[in-house]
Amino acid sequence: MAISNNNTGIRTGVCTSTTRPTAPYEGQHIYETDTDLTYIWGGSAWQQVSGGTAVGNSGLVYVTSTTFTGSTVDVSNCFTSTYDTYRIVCRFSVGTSYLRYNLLASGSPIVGGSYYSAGFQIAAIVGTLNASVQAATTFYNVFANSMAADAFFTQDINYFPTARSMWTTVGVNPSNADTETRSGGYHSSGTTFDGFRLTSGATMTGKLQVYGYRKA
Amino acid sequence: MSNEQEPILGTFHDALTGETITRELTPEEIAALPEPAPPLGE
Repeated sequence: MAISNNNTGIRTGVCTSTTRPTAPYEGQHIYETDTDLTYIWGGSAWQQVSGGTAVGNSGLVYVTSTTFTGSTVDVSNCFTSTYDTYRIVCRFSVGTSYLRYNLLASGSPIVGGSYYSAGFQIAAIVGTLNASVQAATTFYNVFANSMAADAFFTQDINYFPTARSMWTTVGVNPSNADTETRSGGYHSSGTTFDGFRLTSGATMTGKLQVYGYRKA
Repeated sequence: MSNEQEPILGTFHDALTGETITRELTPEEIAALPEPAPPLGE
């Protein structure tokens, strides 16, 4: 059975939190106009499913994803004022090289000396702890030392292009002495940006996702 | 034996359109790539 209409929608179970159906059937949908929440009767209780302030304004929201191969990966038009903070999740295989990060503006990397960061890397196998500080550099190091084989990182970036946009990164590179890296950085110039570029001296092959933190 | 090098590729993804392309990098883009670094602990 197909139900189709270009001009109207289906209006089901509209009520308020105090006028819910007294004898609901399992699977029945209702929408409460006073809470802006949607529920389904699960047989013994109303199960909140979506919409409204309580659910709709919390959690991560998918923005985009892509698979990639190459020495550079550009993701454009993923950052807007829709969200204050974004999360990048990325896993890839790679040869021996750095992994660097730049903000993108209209498809071009922002390369001015305005990247500041500090962090450390722990190499579990060789038992070393390396700290690094970068000031006024032309890029941000996701992995300051060499990667090898495969790597994974997540980054939370605060979208604040009128002043400082800041980020924190956690990454792991098992084939490089079981290295884990943690760092934080920011871009100081207040430049408007809409994406990011990953750059390596070796070919990267993997997948990344970008999510937005829905505003509370 | 061939002396030709493997092409250096880049992936370009537009979140607005969902389009992803992979192409060979230009000489300018290749020149901007970082140099390899020694592994940690060596």
